[in-house]
Amino acid sequence: MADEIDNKATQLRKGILELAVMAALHGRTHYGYSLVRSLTGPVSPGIKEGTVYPILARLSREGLVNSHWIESSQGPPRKYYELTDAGRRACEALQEEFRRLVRLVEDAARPPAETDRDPADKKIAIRRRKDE
Amino acid sequence: MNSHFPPAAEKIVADYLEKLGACLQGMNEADRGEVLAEIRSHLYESFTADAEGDEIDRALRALKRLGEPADVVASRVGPGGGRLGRRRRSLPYILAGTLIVLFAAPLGMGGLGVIVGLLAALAGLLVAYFATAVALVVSGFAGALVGLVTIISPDVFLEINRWAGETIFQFGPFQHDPQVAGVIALIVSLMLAGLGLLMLWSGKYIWRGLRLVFRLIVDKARSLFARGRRITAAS
Repeated sequence: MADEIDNKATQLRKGILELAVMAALHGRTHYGYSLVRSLTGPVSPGIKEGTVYPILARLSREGLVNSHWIESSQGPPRKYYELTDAGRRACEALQEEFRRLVRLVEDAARPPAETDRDPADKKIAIRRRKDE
Repeated sequence: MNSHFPPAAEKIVADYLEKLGACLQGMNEADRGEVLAEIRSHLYESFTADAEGDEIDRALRALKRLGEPADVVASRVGPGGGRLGRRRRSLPYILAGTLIVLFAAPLGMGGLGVIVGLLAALAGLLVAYFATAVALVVSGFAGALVGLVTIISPDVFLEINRWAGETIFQFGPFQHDPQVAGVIALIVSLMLAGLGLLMLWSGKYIWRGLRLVFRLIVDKARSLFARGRRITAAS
């Protein structure tokens, strides 16, 4: 059971991670490591840092991000990424869709109001009252 | 190239990048170099941000946080793009392999000669095998047809001999009983045709085996070529 939940969580994370990468690049540039840190903080709970690179490669192939190399004074050169115009538009549309889905999940999880309750529930409640 | 890492950490990182490079076979050299440079840069950042323990521990933790090489390059090579798994584009691979073999100057003329010789021998074996099988099937069915005609109407051949004015068809020891010769010809011919069909049927397994050997040779040539290029680049 725990494995099944882990698998579902992984699938959920995969879909959302791409949007998170785009959101992190919205209005900012990042190189791979700084992008990972901006997504996860100082530690990387649950995701491997390397998972951002296939996402960046895919976004690059789709023309949603641009990249360029910049020399670093402290170590090897860094490859910086930024959203293209198409990437910004896609990111905004996907963020709106994501918010809609979050509302959907929250509404579905909210307990039903008294008036929305299933008639079968009411019957059981009435019968219990009679029993009392 | 300036490694930026201390020597022990550099060894660990280099081993990891070699595995990563192996996962990127099929990608062009420039893109492959860019991916490796980007991951090296990431590992350096991760390594320097982690100050706890000695350099080996820090390098190993940086690799652990990054993940397995295959996951890091997951969508870059695509399904079947790795060294293992099904390859549907066999013809391009064969052509690419042949080109690599032909232009693999670092192998030297001796190496080229051995590889070309092996490939030619394999191709020759294959052609000879299937040519024999086809010849057996064709001649077997032709012989069976002749045998059948001899059984049904032996006079046809005697008429042809008479019309030609010379003995084209001979029945040897069965001169006076050509139908027996027909039965023997039919049986032997059908056996030959059956043998040919069996060879064609089993040929697909031989073809698979030879294709495997061919790929092994081409892969070996490619790795030798890559090693030769690295040595040339280093010197």
